[in-house]
Amino acid sequence: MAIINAQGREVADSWTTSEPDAAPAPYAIIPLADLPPAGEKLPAPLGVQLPPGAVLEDIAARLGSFALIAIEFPKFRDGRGFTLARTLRQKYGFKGEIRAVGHVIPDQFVALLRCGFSTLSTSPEHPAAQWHLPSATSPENPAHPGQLLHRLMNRGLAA
Amino acid sequence: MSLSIISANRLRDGRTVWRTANGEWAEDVQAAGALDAQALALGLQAAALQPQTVVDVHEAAVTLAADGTPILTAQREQIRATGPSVRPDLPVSTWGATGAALPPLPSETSTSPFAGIYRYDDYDRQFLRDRAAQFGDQAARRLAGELSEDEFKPLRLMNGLYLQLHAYMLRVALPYGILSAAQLRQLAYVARHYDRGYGHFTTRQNIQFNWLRLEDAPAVLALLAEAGIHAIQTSGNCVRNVTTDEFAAAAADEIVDPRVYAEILRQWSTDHPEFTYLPRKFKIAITGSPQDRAAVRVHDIGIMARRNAQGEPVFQIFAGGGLGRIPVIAVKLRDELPVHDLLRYVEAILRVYNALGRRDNIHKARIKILIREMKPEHFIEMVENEFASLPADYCVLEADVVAAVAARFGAPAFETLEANPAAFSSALKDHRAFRAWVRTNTHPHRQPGYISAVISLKTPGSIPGDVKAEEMDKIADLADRFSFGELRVTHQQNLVLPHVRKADLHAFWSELVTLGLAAGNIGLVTDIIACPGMDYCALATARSIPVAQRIAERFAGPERQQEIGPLDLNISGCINACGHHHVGHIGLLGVDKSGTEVYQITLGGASDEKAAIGTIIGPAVPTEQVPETVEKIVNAYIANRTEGETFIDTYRRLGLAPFKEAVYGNH
Repeated sequence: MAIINAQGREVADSWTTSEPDAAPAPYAIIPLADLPPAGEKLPAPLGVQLPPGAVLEDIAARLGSFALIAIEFPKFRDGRGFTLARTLRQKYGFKGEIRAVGHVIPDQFVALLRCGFSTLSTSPEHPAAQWHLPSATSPENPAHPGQLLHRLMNRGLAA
Repeated sequence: MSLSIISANRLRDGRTVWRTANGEWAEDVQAAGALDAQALALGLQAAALQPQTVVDVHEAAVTLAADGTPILTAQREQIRATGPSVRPDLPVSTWGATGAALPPLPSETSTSPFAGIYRYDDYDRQFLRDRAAQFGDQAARRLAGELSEDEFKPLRLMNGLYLQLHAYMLRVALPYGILSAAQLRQLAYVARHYDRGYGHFTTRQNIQFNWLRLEDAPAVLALLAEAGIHAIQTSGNCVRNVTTDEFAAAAADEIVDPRVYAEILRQWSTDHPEFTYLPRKFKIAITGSPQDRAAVRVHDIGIMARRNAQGEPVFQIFAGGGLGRIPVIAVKLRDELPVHDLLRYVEAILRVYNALGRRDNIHKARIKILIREMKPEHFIEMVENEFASLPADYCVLEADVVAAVAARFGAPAFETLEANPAAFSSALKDHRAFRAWVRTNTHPHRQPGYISAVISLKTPGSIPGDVKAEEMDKIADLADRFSFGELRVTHQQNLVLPHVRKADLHAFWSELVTLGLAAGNIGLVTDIIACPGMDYCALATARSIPVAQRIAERFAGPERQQEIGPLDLNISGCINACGHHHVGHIGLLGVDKSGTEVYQITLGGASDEKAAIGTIIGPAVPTEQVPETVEKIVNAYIANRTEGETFIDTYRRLGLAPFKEAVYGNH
């Protein structure tokens, strides 16, 4: 499906989702369960797809080998992916692309960005046209300085 | 042959409707077509294809009257068809939206500039307007089919809009229970013009309107925004309205002003990008005094201010408390958390919960279950690890930040007054009823010459927490006249004027007498906490309000209540425990036992610093015997108490035995 960037614009995408048992290739997103054991030589750039219950500690040492981390949302109400993304950015300092895949809705766009997602994969129910940022002057826009507490803490609340 | 009819609520206004034989949706249950099993299946299939017309499509069992009209079997369905049994004056009908021009908003002329509410700036006001517009957009997308009901529901819940038995219900946040007279007038305006003339104050210090139309909800949110009020996060699986002590910033025994930290938590949690889709709802309470008036140990996170050995304010942190199906008293995580770490620590708790809380079973999704399943030691260890790994500069609550938030509250311009003015002393001496009311309905103020006064919304016979629009306006006038335009909502569903001059207290009380709001029963047996029950609520299994009314009527005599003394009696109409029955000294839980309402009785619950979950006394009793059973329990207490001993202390000394004997013994 179409990929949307943090500005809400559709972007070209070189990544492919890896088939089960396929050998890792550049620009493949491999499910966490299919990831070759640590130490094995991997092609680059490589992506990994995390289920919502992934334990980041288990792959902490290998995060540097991924250019992209996709995080699955089985249902939009399942908010574990927000914590995964934020922890990747904040605790592990992951600098690559973080992509939301699965069931997310346009009303979550700002929250996804604020947790550190950089792109998302759209669905037929919510095509690219439904995703757009609130206007730059709107308090909902991630660039807005925020309520008093956020302004005082200089967005020390953000990732 | 079993027969059913198909019922639903109309999407655009929430009104109850029934499906006719030719597939129309009728407002009158009599028009419904009775269906056998095969026709029912077909009808449900057809109704499922109309998601833009109706919601909550379901079947209801019926029998047929002699003339062939359907008679609903289940009490819940009967109530849906007729209206709340406790408001025969409000039968189900189409209401609101007459099309007539509405009068100007109260907020255009009424501002209550001296009330101690958090003062919004232009940004905050614009934020609320934008949120109202955003919800308008979401509702429009739902009506247009762009959002499914499954997707829309969490969005409307996050804006306080539920679908109940008869209609949509809007739960409006009154942050930490504080509001101004001007805001109360705005609420009265909503009750009068968009609802059916009243509102209901809740145990989370909020207000609910029972008859909101979905298509009016964006307009209502917009007009509330003009008075600085919103409904954000009053429902949904997010951090809910933070509650606190109703005597905050007035009580003599306070260590910190809990309003400031509650507001900081409110801003931190509003639209929190990470914690808006939690496994389940999340409730935080904070108390600024060592006496727990906010029931912190039965919250997901409870925060209690205290002083450390150096005399500095610090916070005790509890987590995993809660009522509901599985009542739990919270575990203590920290004894002396420094103030600057408050947000960081709360964030660490939420992060562990969001990652690990159960999502496979809604009844096991609260943090209390996670803590139990992980074992408290392990949970605390994880939180501490998470806390320790946060970036050092992240979410630190520096003193200047706290001071800047505190400055937004403004301080009432207290006068220098005599601690005990002669006018007050002589009024106490001369008026017995006033004296009795002062004894129960006031709380010491830290400012000499002032006192906090509680307006009981529990006049025996009334519906606990319900207030009419006209009463709201009159109470707002009293707040302007006697209390700097400031009010509080208590978690016991009463109102407080926090700063009344003692010299004016008799005049204030006299006004309450005129309004019929001078019940001197705060903390007594008729000050009953009750949820709305099956008369309104889609989850309830029993009608809790009529039971509360019957008990209050039985103990209505002021002397009798005074003789009994402090006694918390709490009633819930279902296992979800919105009426806090687990922590009532006497708790009543209504359950459905093969089609009949019965009440399970617990004793010994408490929500203060000696928090405890009540113990079930024995087999449930039929609804009509509840008042008499409560009386037996009360009489057993009176027979067994020592000089000056309260109900809960007698129970703690003697246990269940004498009460059990009084209720179930052979007499």
